[in-house]
Amino acid sequence: MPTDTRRITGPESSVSPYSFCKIQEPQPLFNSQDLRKDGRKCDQVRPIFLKTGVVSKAQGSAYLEQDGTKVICAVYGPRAVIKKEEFSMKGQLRCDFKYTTFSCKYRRQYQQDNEEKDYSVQLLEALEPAVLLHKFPKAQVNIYVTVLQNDGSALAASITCSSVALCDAGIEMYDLVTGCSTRLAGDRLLLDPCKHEEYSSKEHSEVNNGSVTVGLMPSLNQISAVTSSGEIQFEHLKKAINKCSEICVQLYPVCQQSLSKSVKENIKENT
Amino acid sequence: MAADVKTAQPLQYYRKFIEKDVRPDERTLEEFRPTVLNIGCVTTAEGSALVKLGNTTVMCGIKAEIASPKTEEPKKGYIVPNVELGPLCSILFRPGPPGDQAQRLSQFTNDVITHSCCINKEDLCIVPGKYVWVLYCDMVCLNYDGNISDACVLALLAALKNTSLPKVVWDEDTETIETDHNTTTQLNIICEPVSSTFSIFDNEVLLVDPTVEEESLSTGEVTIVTIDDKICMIRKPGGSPLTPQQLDLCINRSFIRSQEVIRLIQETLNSVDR
Repeated sequence: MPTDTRRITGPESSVSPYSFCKIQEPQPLFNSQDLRKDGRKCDQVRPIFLKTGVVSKAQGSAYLEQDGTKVICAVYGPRAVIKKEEFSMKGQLRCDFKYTTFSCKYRRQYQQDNEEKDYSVQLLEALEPAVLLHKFPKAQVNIYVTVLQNDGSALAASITCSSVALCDAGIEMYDLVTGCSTRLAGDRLLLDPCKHEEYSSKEHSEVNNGSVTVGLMPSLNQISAVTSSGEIQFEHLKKAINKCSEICVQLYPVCQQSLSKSVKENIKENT
Repeated sequence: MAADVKTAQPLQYYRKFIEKDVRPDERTLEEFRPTVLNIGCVTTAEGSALVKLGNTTVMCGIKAEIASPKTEEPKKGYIVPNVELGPLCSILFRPGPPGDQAQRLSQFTNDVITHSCCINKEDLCIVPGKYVWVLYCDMVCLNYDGNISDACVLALLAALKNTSLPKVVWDEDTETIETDHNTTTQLNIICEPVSSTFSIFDNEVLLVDPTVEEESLSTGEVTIVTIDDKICMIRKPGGSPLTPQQLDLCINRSFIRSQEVIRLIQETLNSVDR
């Protein structure tokens, strides 16, 4: 591996202390009373904290906290296209999704890895249908998302957070996009999964074990993004998407509230 | 009107304020911005802290990993501080590898740790010659509004004070180690380095804790790192020359700041424990 000359480097290789841990038995997702490990019911989502205007020099920004999942997003632009990118009469949207090195159980690298690149694209595709791209021709809007701590549902949280940040930046949009994800385990739906509840293809191979993430534009009632992983029967998938959409609609007033609060504060400051 | 002058002639705009010994954000010349500290905010990290210095926000997270030590120093662990000035925090930064400023800051925080000796690196030893701890201290800037170095040093110190490492059991027969994440030990911090930055305006006026506008107009900068009532480091990379009297003034101010900061950390730590 080439050494990084621009950073202070430690030893050539190091291993996470979790690798030396005793191997733990996988715990059941819910107990006999149908409660999850953190005491939630299967269809209960974690409380959300949302705040706009956290990065003072950005056009728009938002911070979202969903218990252990903490996401910050800043929006810059519309500004001139920086790199030698393709010319486009329509406006361009660019997303950068990054986990901080300390946000997960195992340490992340500084460079974007495949998962982060994948999430950047998914985020972009979830937001693009909601933005009026023709309003800023030949220009670019950059969305930078940083996950400060990841406790599951990071993509769903980023979708909500970045659409609120876009709105805070005054980028014209058809609607906000709110995100929600769910874990399928047999005939159960675990909404808004924590890190240990999230689906991974290595551990679960049975049918109807997977996860679904939905991005919804609530007032238009249009779905802008769906991702599912794992082998899921169509009936179950439909049920999961419907349930996620329900939660997305419930998130809408939260976003509205934080946006109207920041607008009110801005007016107060300027008068 | 004032906003127009600020954009068109920022220097004149600032001079008008500084003549009256006040700054546009209503601070006096030797006043720091309100400092907010939040310790232990990231539970996935072994230690973490969030610092807000006015608008400037820096989050430091410490991840501990296990590595083999250098052959010449079989008992010493590693501390690897890095400062990340990502495109998120300001319009000044572009995506990609760290720029000059981030590299300089990383080196500065590294110097503060090594010169202040705030951690005995031998405390990080697990099995001499075989296993030692590596502390990856990553400081991520979330909002860039000047005086990032003070915020970084404070965040780093607070995060180190919050760091607790899992217990490691060495099995002599099999020559393997096993970690126990339910029992942790607090990292021992020997001393508390605190940095204070002064910006030189118009070659003579000293501004404490500069904002990003003040930094861009400044003709020089002094950073003083103190430990209790001793000086650990003075960094004045060129810029306007200072008289010894002015430097004395800076040093005295930084001692007062040092006490304030240590009190703040102590208060925050106490409130976290409860």
